[in-house]
Amino acid sequence: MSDEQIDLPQGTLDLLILKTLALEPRHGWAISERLHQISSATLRIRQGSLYPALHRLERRGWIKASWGTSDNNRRAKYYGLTKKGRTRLQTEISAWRKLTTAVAQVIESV
Amino acid sequence: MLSDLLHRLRNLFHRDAVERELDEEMRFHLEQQVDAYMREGLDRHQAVRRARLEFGGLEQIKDEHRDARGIGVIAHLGRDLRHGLRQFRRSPAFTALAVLCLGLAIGVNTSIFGVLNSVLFRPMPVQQPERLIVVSRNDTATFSYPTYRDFRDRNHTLVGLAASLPSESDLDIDGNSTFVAAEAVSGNYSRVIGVQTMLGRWFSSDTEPAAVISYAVWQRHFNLDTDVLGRTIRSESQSYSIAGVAPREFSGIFAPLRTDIWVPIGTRPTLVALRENRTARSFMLFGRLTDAATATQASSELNAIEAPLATAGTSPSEAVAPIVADEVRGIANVANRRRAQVAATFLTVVVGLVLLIACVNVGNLLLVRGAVRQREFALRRALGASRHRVLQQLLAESLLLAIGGGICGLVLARWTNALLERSLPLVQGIFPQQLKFDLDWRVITFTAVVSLLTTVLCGLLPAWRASRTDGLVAFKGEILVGTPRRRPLGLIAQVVMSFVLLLVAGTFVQTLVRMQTADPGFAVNGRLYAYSFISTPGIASAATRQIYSRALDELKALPGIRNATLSYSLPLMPTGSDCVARTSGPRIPTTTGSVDPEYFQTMKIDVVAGRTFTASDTPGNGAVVIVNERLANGLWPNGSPIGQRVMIGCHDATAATVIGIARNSSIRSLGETPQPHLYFPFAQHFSGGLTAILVETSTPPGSLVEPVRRTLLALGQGVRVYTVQPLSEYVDQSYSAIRWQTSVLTTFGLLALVLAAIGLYGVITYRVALRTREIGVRMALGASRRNVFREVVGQGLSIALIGVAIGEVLTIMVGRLLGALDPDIQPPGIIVLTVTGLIWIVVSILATYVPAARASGVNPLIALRYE
Repeated sequence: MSDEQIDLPQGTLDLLILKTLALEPRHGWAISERLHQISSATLRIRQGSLYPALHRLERRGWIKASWGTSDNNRRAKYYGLTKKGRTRLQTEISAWRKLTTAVAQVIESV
Repeated sequence: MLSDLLHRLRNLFHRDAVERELDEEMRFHLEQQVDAYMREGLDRHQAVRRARLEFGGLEQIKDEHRDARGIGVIAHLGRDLRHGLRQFRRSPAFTALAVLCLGLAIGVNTSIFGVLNSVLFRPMPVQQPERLIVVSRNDTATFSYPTYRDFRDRNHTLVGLAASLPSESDLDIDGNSTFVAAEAVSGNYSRVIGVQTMLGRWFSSDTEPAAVISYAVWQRHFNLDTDVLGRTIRSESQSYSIAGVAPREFSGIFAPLRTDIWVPIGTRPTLVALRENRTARSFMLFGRLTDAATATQASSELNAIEAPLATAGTSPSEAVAPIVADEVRGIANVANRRRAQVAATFLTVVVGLVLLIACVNVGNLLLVRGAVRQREFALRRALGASRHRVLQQLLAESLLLAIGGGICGLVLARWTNALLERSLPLVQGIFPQQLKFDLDWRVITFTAVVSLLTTVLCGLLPAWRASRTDGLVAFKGEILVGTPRRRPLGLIAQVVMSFVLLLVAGTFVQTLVRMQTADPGFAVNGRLYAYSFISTPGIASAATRQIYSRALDELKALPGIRNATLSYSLPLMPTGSDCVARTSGPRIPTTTGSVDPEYFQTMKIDVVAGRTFTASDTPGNGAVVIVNERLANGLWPNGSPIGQRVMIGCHDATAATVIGIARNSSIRSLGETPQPHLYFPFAQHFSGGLTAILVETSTPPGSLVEPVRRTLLALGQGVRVYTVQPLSEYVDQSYSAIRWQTSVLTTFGLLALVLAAIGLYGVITYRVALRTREIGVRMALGASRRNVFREVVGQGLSIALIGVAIGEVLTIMVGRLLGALDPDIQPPGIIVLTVTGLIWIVVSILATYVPAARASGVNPLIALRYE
């Protein structure tokens, strides 16, 4: 396990989850693995935050859950983006970009 | 939004399924992680251990999760309620006390709302009551018959318009006469009102000699015998054949009086002239709206019909107020409703205060419990419950109490309603009254709302305080409630409210006592009266007077009778009212009565100036009147009225000569300030109808009741005799309304007193418990038991004194309001103020005695060992 894990800024978890689901529906474990991988092991989400977040998103109608079969033939709950979720993802991404650009500008400015 | 709701609902209703799925999902995750670690080379045992560690508390996740799913509030409520029930089972005394306090208060509120409901809100027990309207103008609900005909024939918004003339009348069954409230009604009455019969049918023409009797008459006089149809009864000298029996719940339009007989309007000869008179407004009008029309439309249509007629006929001052068609709710007659509404609203305020007192009580009890349970809350907070959760749990507990109180209250209200219904017929002596105070859906809803309100009212503050518990501090073994305020506002408010209620009750008691001890200004003892009526059809008034003078002669011949006389009405129940004025001068409204010459002597009302009536004051001679002192003063403040002419009448005045001044006596009620009154000679001013025969006896009047009745009945000639009783009983009945109100208010006042005393006791006891150690220290340092005892009692006493002082000031304002309720009620006098104050002080000492004794019994050694 890498020691360079950092805490996620408030509110970014939703964005990350939505992003990981953009390509295809995944189950909870796969989501956390995927985040871990593509962030080069920097981001590791506590399960205790992941599942409540998933259900919060589901309640808002951005993702939809359905039972399916995993690679190793086990029953697993898959989460997929809804149409509303996709729109939301776009908004969140552009908001994030704005924020990071702004933050970067401030940091570089000195 | 909708998806959110559906989601929550699914979560709520499929809790088990959802929990199972959650379980499965978590397990899947864990196993995936274990597989992953095993692929990295760990053995299974290590992999499981590591995955578990990383995963964190499984239950904790599931819980956070449930909150995220948003089922918290509702699912928790169920859990909180169950938890609350367990809590209450553990402290049955507290629970019983709290539920009983709330139950009593909610019970009386439910009961009084039941009264308010039957007075103001409940529709009539008829078909489609929401389409039934009553017509009124300017707070009077009566119209002339020609107006009725216009409205009936020209409107388009009503299916039908019915007229009813409510009146006191007689009902004669096999020679037995009774007084009843009767309605002479148009033939379409049953169709318009929407009332069926229980047995038989309603008459449907204006002239059919048929009558419908009330259920009560059927029960009392005919033993519920179904053969009653077709039997002949008599009323106001007419014979009727019984066509039907009205449904039990239908008591007519005369509420709170119960109508006992309905007859067609055309069968009353006395009404023939009345029905052509446009200025005699005696008929109540009821309409049934067509499906398309509203009450507002009906109102404007009736106004439009009336407008041209009003300008043509009546004086302009009478036609100004618009005509209003209202849905019939509660008491149909606007004037009656107004009167009942004032009384019912007043009672509502009174019981509202009782409820507030009970709420403060239970609130105080909950505060005490909250302080005692601080450790429990601290533990919960430490284990991760949010402040919000603790608050929610406590509110759920008070909800439970309120539900218990509500149920208890409904049970109680059933009982008190029956009591109120039973005591009501006694309120107005002669005529039977009937109001049903059912627990219908309105009342039940009201109780539910009140119970919920109670939850918030008595639960919110204690819950708020308790939820503030700081997890760490409370654990140090210290009960931290903050030093309680020396004079808690809640308690003082309670004392004030209960004291004001007690004073109100005291004010009524004072009025009652004043009435009982007042000098009525006329003789009561050794007097007997008999109401009689001559029912010979078409008899001339001269013949009537002849029958009566024979009656008086025969009565005077009876042993034990000193004197006998006639009066159109009994004192305290003036039937006439009129205006009287000097030939030039302002008009003074006055009550009137017609009396026989010997009335003044028989009733011991002295004629202080001029002369009394004589046998020569007959219709042929000039009109003469006697005025009482109050009226004489009003008309001629500085001069003798004897021999002066007065104009009598509010509209078309006729002249008369004043021949005498009679001493003031009670006219409307006992103990009143003198009222203007005018006496006509019976011979000049009698047009038939119910007449009172007054008798002075030399033996106890009770023993002469039967001889008098027999003598009068023996006259024959259609003489009917109703009530015969000693005048003292009649006078007693005259203030039965006040007596009823007094007993109801005294009950509520005492209830409030007991509740507030319980509150005082509870809080003082609690404070003593909190201060046990302090008291121990002080006693160890030399304070005597007496000092401690005095201090505790002093605490309760100071609260009571402050409350009483504020209450006395408030009552000066309340006293004025009471005057508006009933003119007989006067503000509380010094005796009432002192006695009620003393009662409260004694009660406060009693309520603090037990805790004070406990405090002074503290053993310093034991108290200090707590350290």
